[in-house]
Amino acid sequence: MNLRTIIEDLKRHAVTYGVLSIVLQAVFFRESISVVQRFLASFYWMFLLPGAFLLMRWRERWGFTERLIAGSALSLAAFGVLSYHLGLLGLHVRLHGLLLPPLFIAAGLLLARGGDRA
Amino acid sequence: MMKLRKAWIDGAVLLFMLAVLLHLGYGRILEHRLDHGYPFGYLAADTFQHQSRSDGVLRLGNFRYEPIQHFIGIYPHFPGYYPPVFLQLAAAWSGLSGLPTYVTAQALPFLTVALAMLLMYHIARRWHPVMALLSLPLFPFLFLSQAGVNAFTWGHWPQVTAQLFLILLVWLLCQPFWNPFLLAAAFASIVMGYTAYAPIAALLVAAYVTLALLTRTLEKEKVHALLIASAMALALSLKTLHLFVNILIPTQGEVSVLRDWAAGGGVVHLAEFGLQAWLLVAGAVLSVMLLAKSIRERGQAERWLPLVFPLLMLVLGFTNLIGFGKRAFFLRLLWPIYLSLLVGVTLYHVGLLVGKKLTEASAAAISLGAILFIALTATASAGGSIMSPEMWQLLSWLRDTTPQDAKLFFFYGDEFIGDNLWNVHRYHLRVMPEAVVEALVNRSARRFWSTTINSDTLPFTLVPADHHKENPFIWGWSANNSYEYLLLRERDMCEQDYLIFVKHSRQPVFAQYGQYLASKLLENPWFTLAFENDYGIVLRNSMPGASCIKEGPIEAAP
Repeated sequence: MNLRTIIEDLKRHAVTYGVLSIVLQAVFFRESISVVQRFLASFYWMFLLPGAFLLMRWRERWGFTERLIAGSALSLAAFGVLSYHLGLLGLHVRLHGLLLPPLFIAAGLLLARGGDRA
Repeated sequence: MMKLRKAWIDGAVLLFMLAVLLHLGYGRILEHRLDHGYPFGYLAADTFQHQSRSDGVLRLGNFRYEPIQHFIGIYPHFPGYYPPVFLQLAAAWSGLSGLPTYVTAQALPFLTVALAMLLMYHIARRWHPVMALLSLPLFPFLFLSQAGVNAFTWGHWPQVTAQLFLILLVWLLCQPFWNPFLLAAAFASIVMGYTAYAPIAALLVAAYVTLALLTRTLEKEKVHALLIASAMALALSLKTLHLFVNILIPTQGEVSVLRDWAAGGGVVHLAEFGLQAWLLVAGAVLSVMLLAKSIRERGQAERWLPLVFPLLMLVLGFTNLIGFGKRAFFLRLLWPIYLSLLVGVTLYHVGLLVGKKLTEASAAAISLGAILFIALTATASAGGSIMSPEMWQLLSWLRDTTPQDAKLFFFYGDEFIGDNLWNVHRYHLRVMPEAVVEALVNRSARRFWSTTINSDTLPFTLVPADHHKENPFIWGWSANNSYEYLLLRERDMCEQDYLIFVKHSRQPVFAQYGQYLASKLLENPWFTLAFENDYGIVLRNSMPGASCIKEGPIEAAP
């Protein structure tokens, strides 16, 4: 994995985000753009982006779409579990959405350095 | 070029399906607006239960204690016993985005179900890409039966959300390698998402191991990964399991045989899938035949799991008949996702029978057409809310303005269904409607009213009531059948700090009577009008305990 791979992935994220923005705005056509964007941006930041990065190690095995979908499910799972314990340890839940996604992204990048192994 | 075209077909189909299903479910139920300024699309008490609990977690910062109990102050240190994953997700999302918890808690089941569909499609693709595409037309049925829609508007949110993690587990098990960290996250999230699904996770693993043994493909590395993942998941979910054993099992661990569940919003039946029910049944038979044939050929176990999974979920959906009760009905809610591949199997073989081997492009076209047709003919009703903007304004005022130790007294209101009032995050009493009826029949003004402490009742249902724990592991609590005494009692209206009376009711006499009482209370100089809007009024009592109303016949017709 190198910087180019990450940039390629980020480009795909940008396209996906744009497409999802259009879909969500069409579904919620009575809602303001700012609310839809706040809704999507926060969800994307918390679960979709870290999810795809978490599975980056296996990028050759799974295409971007599958990695994004399965990674998001994984990210929701890991977030929910860790958030509970971090809360019990005293870290306010308001901070979890800021701190956990970069942690997941970093973990995914670290894992990806090892290549496509189990 | 061919690969690119296939990827494009795949992406376009999934995007179209996602858009249609979001429109059909989430969009339609919310009348195409995300934030109405108050909880919209909330049609039962459980919706507010999950929303207000998430809101409480956000306010407290963690789920160490049950927020509702903590705020009302009777058992402030009663442990947060509910499976925490959903609450944490809703609270953290709200904390980051600034969106209210009534938006984030409601959105989670819709979005996780959307992910579940997309992930299930990728599981099905491992069996056969064309069959996977042909399986898509079953997905819209998620929002076509009334029971399906009710799952979202009546609040089966944590259960629905946790089913994504069951599908994630299957996706992971379908891989040719197993990573212990990924498996551990799936296991732990199932236990901490909805603990009752833990046996299903075990069953899925058992299904894989059985298949692997039958095909003689059980690998040592996978067994190692499984053991490590199980140990990690156990460590992560130990606290949840501990609370589950000591709190939820004594109070809600009953084995019940249910055939219907009107109180829970109804049950999904196979017949509701119309023509697709026949395709589905045929698909089940075909799948069993395919499995029997394939296992003899000794393929890899993970290759067959996509086909075993729907069969397993079909059978588990009927376990209501052997005591799994409403939990079986929760699984049925996602039958349109779980069983979709069975429809794909049938359609593909029908194609073969008529001498046409379908390609991905033709399968995609058939599916898109079918999804569009089904979506356009959708009939299940949705929309509306128990909450109104004015009622939400009143509750928000109480939550944001009154002191934390204030005692609130809710007189009769059509919308006072219990859990929606939890949003005040204060000790509050709710007058029993039958007491109001009795007072009206007797045409009398009262000071003492039959009331309930409006709260999560579970801490009151466990004995001993002081929640003394002699053994740190097994607390020995049991269900208390006479717990209602603790909650339901006659209490003095004059002792409360804030009294809430509505202005309107479907039976106007209820509201008129409440307004009459309020006018009598305001004759005391220590009572003031603290808040008023179109929905109701809030009176502030600055001398709690002082005699505030003359008991006896009412002085004028209300």
